[in-house]
Amino acid sequence: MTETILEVKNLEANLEDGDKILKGLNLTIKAGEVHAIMGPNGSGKSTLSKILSGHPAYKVSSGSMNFLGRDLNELEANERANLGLFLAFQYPLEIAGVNNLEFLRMAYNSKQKYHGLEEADPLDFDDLVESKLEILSMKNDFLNRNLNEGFSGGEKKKNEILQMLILEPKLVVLDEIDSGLDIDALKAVANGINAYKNTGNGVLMITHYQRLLDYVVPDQVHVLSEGRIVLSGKADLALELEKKGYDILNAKLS
Amino acid sequence: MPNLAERNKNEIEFIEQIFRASSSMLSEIPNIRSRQETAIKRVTELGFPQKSSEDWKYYDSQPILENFFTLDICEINKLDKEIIRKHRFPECSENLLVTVNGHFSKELSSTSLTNKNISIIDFNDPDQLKKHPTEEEIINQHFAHKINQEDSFFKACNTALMSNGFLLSVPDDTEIEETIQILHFSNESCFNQTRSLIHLGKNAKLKIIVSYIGLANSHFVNNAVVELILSEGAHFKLDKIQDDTQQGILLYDLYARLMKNSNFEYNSLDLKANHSRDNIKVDLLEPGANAGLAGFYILNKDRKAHNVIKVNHLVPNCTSNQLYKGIISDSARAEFNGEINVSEGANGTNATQLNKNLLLSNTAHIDSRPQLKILADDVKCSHGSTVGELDEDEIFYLLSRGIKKDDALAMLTLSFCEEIIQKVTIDSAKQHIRNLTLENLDTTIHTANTVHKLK
Ligand SMILES: Nc1ncnc2c1ncn2[C@@H]1O[C@H](COP(=O)(O)OP(=O)(O)O)[C@@H](O)[C@H]1O
Ligand SMILES: [Mg+2]
Repeated sequence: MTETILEVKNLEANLEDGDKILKGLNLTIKAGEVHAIMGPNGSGKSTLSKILSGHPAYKVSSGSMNFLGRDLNELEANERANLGLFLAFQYPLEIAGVNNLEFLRMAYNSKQKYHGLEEADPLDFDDLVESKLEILSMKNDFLNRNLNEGFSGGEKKKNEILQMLILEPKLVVLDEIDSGLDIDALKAVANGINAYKNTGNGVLMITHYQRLLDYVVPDQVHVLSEGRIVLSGKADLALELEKKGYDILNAKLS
Repeated sequence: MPNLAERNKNEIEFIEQIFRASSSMLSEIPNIRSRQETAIKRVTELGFPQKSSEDWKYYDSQPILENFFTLDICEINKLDKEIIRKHRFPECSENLLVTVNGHFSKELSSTSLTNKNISIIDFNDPDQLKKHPTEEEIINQHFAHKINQEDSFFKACNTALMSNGFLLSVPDDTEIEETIQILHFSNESCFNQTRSLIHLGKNAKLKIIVSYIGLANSHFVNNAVVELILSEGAHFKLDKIQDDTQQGILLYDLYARLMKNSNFEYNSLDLKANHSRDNIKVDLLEPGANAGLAGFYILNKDRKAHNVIKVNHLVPNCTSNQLYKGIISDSARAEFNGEINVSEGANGTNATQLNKNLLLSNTAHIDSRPQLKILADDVKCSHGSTVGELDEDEIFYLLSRGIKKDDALAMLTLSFCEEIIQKVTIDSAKQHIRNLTLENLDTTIHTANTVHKLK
């Protein structure tokens, strides 16, 4: 039997000050699977990704989130990361004065330490980073810049994928990783995702467009609407949605 | 002594003690001596700073008074050489000037400096001065400039009581490549008068990194005064690191006068003193002069830092900018009181001013008062201030990469001040500043953690 990586059951969550955003969400991702979530703006996609990774602004009011057999609710955000949950942000943050390479090394070593492993030898680590840069056609000078500071939209997204490749998580949640990318950047990012993907890990992609799904083919496509998954299907569901828009929801659900 | 009757007993006693002490501090150099005599008069005329004055509104000078009576006017300048080794930056190994408790120490300073075309004149050495007529003229012209109109009480005290500060002067068309390090130590429980006069000739270039270092385990007050003259086309960069002990009170007075097309870059790092008050005044006296003032203060416990800054655009076509950033936690307090003054006719002025603060606890406090006073028409001026906390989303971003909360908070706090630290000339100094900042953060982070949990 394949390993279950993520199991979300009847998840309800709200903002710290009240508004309910997720209203009974179910989602199961098994090892080796690629899932895509689509859905109208404001339906709760980013919220789901942040709740999974432990953002303090949201509160889970009922339901459960299980990651590799652990209850996510009992883990701090950094513990979730160290256990292998990775979120690529829709809007990656710019952190002035923090060197990109230094940051990568800190993140990598945090995980090593968490698992009682040795910190990376700096030279070996540089080699590791360089091999990943190649996959993304990123230049070396990215490393000497400050974390996302002054990066273009596309560069920020590539930098998220770079972090993902180095941290080798068990589950990645990619929040609109394809938004604002030109064709070349989109291919580079898709390259990165395909290099990451294997039979032992999982991918959850939040997207509005079919074009990413041409490169990274999903096993399942879900539609999130008003805080719930209202429709699930195979890869062709995304094609249908792109052609007909979310109006088909009304037809299918009624 | 005028209107002393209205002042409280301690203030009168303070001034009387200064008055008495000054008589034994008078210089043998006539031009210095006569200004000291004027300074004593100014001390009594000005009287101890009162809260009713705008510049002193937020500064509680009572601790100075309370401490003063336990302090001596220090005449000791002994220091273990080992200590110097600990504080010198390797990049400046051969370019070191040392004062101890306000007294210039020839023995502790490196001798090679004068080979580099810099004159160092000890105010306490009349014979040396006689051999240097150019420097004598500089002192005559610029030491205790307009002391009869001096409006800073503590600067007047310094002039009256200082016995051996120094003049550092670079001749015309001389560029000093290496950075000069100046170490001002306070190692006794004293009311120290630290004094220097820095003069750059036409097109001269110089970089100095100054540290005020407190070693005394009991209270002390370091009353430091720097006078600075940049001649036409001169370039000067001054990094000031305030590395005093938690028992120290640092009063720092910098008065810079900038001539045509000269350039002054100043970076102030207030890292450790219990109280500090910086009084910075820059006069842009001829067209084309430029002043860039940057500052960083980090405060925890019940410490205080006050920055009172006046940049005076007195003629057309000068530029200036001020960027001060602060991190305040626990029940610490800071004041940023910055003025840009543009005189009538000073058209073509371009001036900016910005003060940014991070408050890391509910009891931390900032009084931020950026001010513009503009009497000319054709000027570009901007000013502003911000007060905020660490950004929750930035913290989350770092946590989501596996980084521990304390480390994330430390990284973001350092990231906030890195913009200022980057301006410092010397790499080992930058690292030293980061380390001192992190020391401050130990308690700060603890506080921040509780704040975030409360939310
Ligand atoms: N931190 C927040 N503060 C206020 N409203 C929020 C916050 N996070 C999410 N919301 C609201 O929750 C809803 C879902 O937002 P989001 O998850 O970002 O949608 P999506 O990513 O699907 O476009 C929206 O109505 C949004 O305005
Ligand atoms: Mg979104």
